[in-house]
Amino acid sequence: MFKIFKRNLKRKHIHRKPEEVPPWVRKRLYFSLLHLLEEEQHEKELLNLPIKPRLCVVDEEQVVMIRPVDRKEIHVDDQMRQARAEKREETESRKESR
Amino acid sequence: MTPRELRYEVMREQYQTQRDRREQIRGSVATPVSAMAFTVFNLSTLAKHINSQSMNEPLGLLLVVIFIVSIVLLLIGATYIIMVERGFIYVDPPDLREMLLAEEKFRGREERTSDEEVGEDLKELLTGSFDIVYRWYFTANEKAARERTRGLHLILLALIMIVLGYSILPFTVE
Repeated sequence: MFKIFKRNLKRKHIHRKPEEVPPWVRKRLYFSLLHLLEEEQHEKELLNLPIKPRLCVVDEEQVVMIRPVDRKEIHVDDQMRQARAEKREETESRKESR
Repeated sequence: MTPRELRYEVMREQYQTQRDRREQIRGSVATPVSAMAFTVFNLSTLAKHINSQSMNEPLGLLLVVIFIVSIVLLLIGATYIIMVERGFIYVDPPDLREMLLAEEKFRGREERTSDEEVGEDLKELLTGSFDIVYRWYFTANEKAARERTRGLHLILLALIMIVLGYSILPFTVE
């Protein structure tokens, strides 16, 4: 109980990293990141850019941010692997329904 | 103005507009919250006229039903208002480190690339970023605005039910 109070009342000076948040928050973040990756690729092709514009993913409620530099570490996270598999399934089922 | 500059300016403006709109939506939540407080006050007044005997006569029963429906509408409305601020993940333009990395990559392509050319490439990169961010903010704003309006409508409906309750109050047996 004391731990919960301590965690919520602690003043934070910097945003949290994805590995510091609960799995269900990470899941939401990673889904958004996967969606963002598609958008970035689309922009790269649209503007004929040599590199992709890489943006930051922000969850304001949980004070967590995925900066482009953090993406490398995320790729080895099991939660990300799971999110990717679910996203793939979702895309396939959407294609089938069409 | 070159087409590149124009694209950059337009997309930056779009992004800025959505950011401002977000603040407006957040600020406008005060209206349904005030309506909710007023509804709660009226519900408490109506509650004073309801007792165990109310169930025994048709108009009294109707009053009880109106009272319960108002509470349900108010609670659903309140949930919508809470949802205005919840559950959306935003994206923001690249941070400084990413800008520096992008600059390095643009310079690395051709060693003779001048500052102006790198600046132009970065501008185009930001144009793409603003386009993505604009669309994400737009979606979040639309969702928030829709939930705020639905919440307000439900709270107003609860208030209308209470007015109906007051209108039948003189005909009920105290």
